[in-house]
Amino acid sequence: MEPVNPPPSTEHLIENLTDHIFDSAQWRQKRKLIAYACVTWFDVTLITLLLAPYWRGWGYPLTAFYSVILGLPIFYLVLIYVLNQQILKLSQKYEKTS
Amino acid sequence: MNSRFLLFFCGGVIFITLFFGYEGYRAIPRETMGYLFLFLTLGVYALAGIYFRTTNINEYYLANRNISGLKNGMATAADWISAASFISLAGQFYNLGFEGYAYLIGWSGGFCLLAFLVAPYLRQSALYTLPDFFAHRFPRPSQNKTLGPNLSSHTNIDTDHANLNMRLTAALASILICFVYVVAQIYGVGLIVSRLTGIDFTIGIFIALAGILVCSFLGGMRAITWTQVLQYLILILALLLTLGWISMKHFSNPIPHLAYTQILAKTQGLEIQNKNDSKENEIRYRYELLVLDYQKKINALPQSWREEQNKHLFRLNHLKQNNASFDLIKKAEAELAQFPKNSEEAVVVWQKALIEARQHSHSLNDLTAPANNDIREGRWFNFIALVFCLMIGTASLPHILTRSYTAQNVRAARKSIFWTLFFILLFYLSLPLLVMLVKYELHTQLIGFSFDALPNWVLYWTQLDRKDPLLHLLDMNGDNIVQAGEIIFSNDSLMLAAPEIASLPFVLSALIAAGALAAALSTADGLLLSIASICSHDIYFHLFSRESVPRKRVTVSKLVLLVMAMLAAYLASLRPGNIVLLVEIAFSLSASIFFPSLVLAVMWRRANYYGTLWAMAVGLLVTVCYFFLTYPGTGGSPDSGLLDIGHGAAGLFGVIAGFITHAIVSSVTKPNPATDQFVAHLRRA
Repeated sequence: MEPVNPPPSTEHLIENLTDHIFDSAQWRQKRKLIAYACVTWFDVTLITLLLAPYWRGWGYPLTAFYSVILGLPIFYLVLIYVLNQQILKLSQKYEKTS
Repeated sequence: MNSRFLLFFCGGVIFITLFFGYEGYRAIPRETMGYLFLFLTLGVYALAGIYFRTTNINEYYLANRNISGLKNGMATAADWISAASFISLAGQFYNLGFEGYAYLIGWSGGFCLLAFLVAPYLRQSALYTLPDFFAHRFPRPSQNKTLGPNLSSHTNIDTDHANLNMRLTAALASILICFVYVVAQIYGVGLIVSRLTGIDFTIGIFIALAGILVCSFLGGMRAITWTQVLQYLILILALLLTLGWISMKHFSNPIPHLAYTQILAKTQGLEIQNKNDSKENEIRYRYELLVLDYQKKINALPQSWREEQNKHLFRLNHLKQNNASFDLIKKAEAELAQFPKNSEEAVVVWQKALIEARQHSHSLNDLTAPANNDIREGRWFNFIALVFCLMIGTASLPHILTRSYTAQNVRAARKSIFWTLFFILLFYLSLPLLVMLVKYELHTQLIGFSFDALPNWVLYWTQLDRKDPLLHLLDMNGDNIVQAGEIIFSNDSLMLAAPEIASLPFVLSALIAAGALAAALSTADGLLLSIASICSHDIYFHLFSRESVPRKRVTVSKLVLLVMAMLAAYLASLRPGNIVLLVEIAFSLSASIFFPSLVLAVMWRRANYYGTLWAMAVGLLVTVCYFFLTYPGTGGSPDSGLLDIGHGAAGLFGVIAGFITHAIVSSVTKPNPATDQFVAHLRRA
């Protein structure tokens, strides 16, 4: 006798899991964008801060000053602008499809 | 209030400043000018408060959710730029040098987290307060009704959905954070009013309280939004006009940002000279000896405390027996009165003095690059930890999150974060310039001059607050010449004193004080309204009186606002510490309590009630423990910290602990599918 409900394959399980985490194509894309934004934000901040003490040699003091102090906050502003635009586009698409 | 009115307002402020700066300033006494600026600005805020008064609940709590992205951004920027930013950050830059930039990077970087992870989703929830959000997203497991987007209409919330435990926990946490923050703001307001008018600090606090109440009491969020727009304009104009004036004076360029390299090169040259000066090195050596002395005394406690006390008693008796002058006896008595009462108090007082002496034993810190000894001493970890703690704190402050609810829609909420950061950067990127210009002034007008010919502003600022001096000038090596190491500015005085240091007309001092007042008032208003909204909506309405009509809730909110404002003013009058310290505590608390749960609420469907409660409790506990362990004021020692991370970044450990706890507890407890629809609704943002 064959079982009425065959055990789900591994592939099927993974698909279900993915569906559970990402509940729509738009959300998946949006979530990716958010993840990219956060990773970029974190990496750039951390790398800049870790390197800052050693920037003395590279055209000190202007390089360190401009790169760390003026560069980082302006980078945040650009990141928010660019990613927000992309996310808003996706949101519109999401609204149309749902 | 349209754009034309705002342009007219800016023009008016510039005209008044230029008029009194060029023509009338000699004819008008300082006190009159101070009173004029105090009452003129308070009058404008009061008019806005009265004009936008309301008893409509939506207008009172959320400004009817019809604020555009640009205006909401400007109001949020004013809400954000607090007394700590306006008054104390310049002092931090001066005293800490490059290390002070942790605040700039941290406070601006947090807006990325706010924009991507929190604000749009809060707006999408269309609720009223932060505890409201927690109550809807994390209901108790027994509440198995499906929670859909319609929950956003608060009038339809039934008792089950009120989720009292979660609501109350989030409400109390929000009130605690806002209250710590508001005490710091009111302390700043008192400082400014006493500076503007010359009246006593405590009276200054209660006068300014009237200014706070007149904005928020009558019109709630609707009035606050518009007064915050005006307050932002005043504070940014105050900074830019002062900067432009000093820059024009020295570099013939009214836009100092364009004269950056010139300013930098000149200040840098003077600082290098100062570092190599033998007299400066002598001062630093004396501070180093002081550090060793305090260290020795702390290690030898309680014996050292007894010895020191005996020394003071012996000296006093000796003076009395030898019929010394009245002044000397009085001084010795005052020293004895200030001496720690027991060895426990001695640890706290001497640790604080040790840290201050250690700070002064370094040369005046460089603004353009981190000092080499910071890297060697491992203080760089503290810098990075502080940056991240401030970033996370920024994204979880209740009064900033509340502003997301006031935007017209999600699109406006996203845009408003961009504008907020834009307006904040306009301020933050100008601040280091002011500090450089002040340093340049000090090097050219004060350092190297005789103690007998000190400028008037030095005498004024050293005597303004005798209990907690804002400026110390002590001839450490007895050569009667002022050295850089002998000038000690408190963090809270440099910005307010900047126009006088640069010998600018008094109108600019009054304008800077008015700007600082605007910064402190705008933040205090936002914080008090957040507390009042939470008390009336989440505690009074949901806990005690579900049948109360909206008008009654607005009245309750106004009463709470009044009581909280009075209580905060009373605490501020006790001088609870410096502004930056209180702000750091508020950031650490908000980061550790709210951030993990706020992010996981949207990003992780499985995040549930138990995970949230545990994450909040563990985050708070870890933060408080780390703070007590490392803060000298509570008997801790900075040396007890992990990787030399100080008390200012205590929240970082709380956040990490909060995320881990949330993940573990939510994974091992049953998920709550009832919230799936609500999460799906949030994710459409």
